[in-house]
Amino acid sequence: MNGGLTGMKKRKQSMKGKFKRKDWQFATLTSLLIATLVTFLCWAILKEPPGEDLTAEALAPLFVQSGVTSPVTAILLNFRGYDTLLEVMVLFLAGLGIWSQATVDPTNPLVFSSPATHPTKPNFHGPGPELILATLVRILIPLMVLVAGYLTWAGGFQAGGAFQGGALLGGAGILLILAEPQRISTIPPALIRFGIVLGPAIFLLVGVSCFGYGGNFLQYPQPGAGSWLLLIEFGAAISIGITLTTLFVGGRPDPKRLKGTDQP
Amino acid sequence: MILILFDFVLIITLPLLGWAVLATEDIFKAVVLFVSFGLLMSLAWVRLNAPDVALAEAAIGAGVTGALFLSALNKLERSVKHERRINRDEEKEAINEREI
Repeated sequence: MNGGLTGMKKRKQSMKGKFKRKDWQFATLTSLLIATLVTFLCWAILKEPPGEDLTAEALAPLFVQSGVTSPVTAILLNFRGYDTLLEVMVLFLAGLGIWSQATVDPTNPLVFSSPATHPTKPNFHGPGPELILATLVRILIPLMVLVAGYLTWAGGFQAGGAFQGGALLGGAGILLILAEPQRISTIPPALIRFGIVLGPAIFLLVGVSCFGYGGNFLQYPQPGAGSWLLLIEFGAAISIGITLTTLFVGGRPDPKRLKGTDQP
Repeated sequence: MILILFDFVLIITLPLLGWAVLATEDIFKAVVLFVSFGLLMSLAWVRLNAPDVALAEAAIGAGVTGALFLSALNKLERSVKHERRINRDEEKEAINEREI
């Protein structure tokens, strides 16, 4: 075992030495490849005549049918709803992966909960949040949640939408955890799980229930498609926000520590 | 006129910042450069008449991703000031060799 390891190590080192000697060849090859790619891209862009039949004006009648007036949201959630569903699922899976890979100490979520590597490492701010940060957070968080809700709702007729609102919500969550890391231990993990699942579940349920209205998957019933889209958007925004915060925390709250430290 | 000037500044600054993100050895510095790259990129999206993408870029590309990187850096215990990634890796390799 030991001999095998050493052999591997030696082979790795010799490969490393080789790589260093051939560094300039590697660099030349890479830059040649990139130059070729850029040339082809420029050629493709210059060759393609500007499309005239796909302007926003020509598509305006379609956007009216979609239930929302913002062309971006109409395409994202109605015409290309399947793509957006997959995007939401990708984020969901990322959150699921991180949630199942690692645990964090809920009383101190900014470090991993493995006691071997971090015996007594304090968080950024010592025992409690600093006064200025705590006050700022108290004022800022409700405002951020409000603006996130507005952005999500505004996606129907102007710039905004689920991803933007969700990102703002995630920013609010990250700020909250940075300011008061112990706060996460007061949130029941079941609620976090529910919040992560909510958006994808609503999206899927709406997509499937379209069969009931005689449509295809994600083919919303024609009058009132707007309210379906709004429902999907709010669910997705909440889930995106919570998932992004979970990604930042980097793991699920450790249940053992959660029981032991109800009162930090 | 002033907008065209602004565009030129963006066109020059973005590739330079991108290069700096890739070339810098200090990971903390790279994260900070990445965040500033994201902010400038969102300005570029605004100039391209894509406010939706600009909002997402500023919030996710610059804000949340930067915070994620910093949190990962903190958990990897590499956020010590003036610490270079390459030095750190070589140090670890030396330790590994001694152990073997």
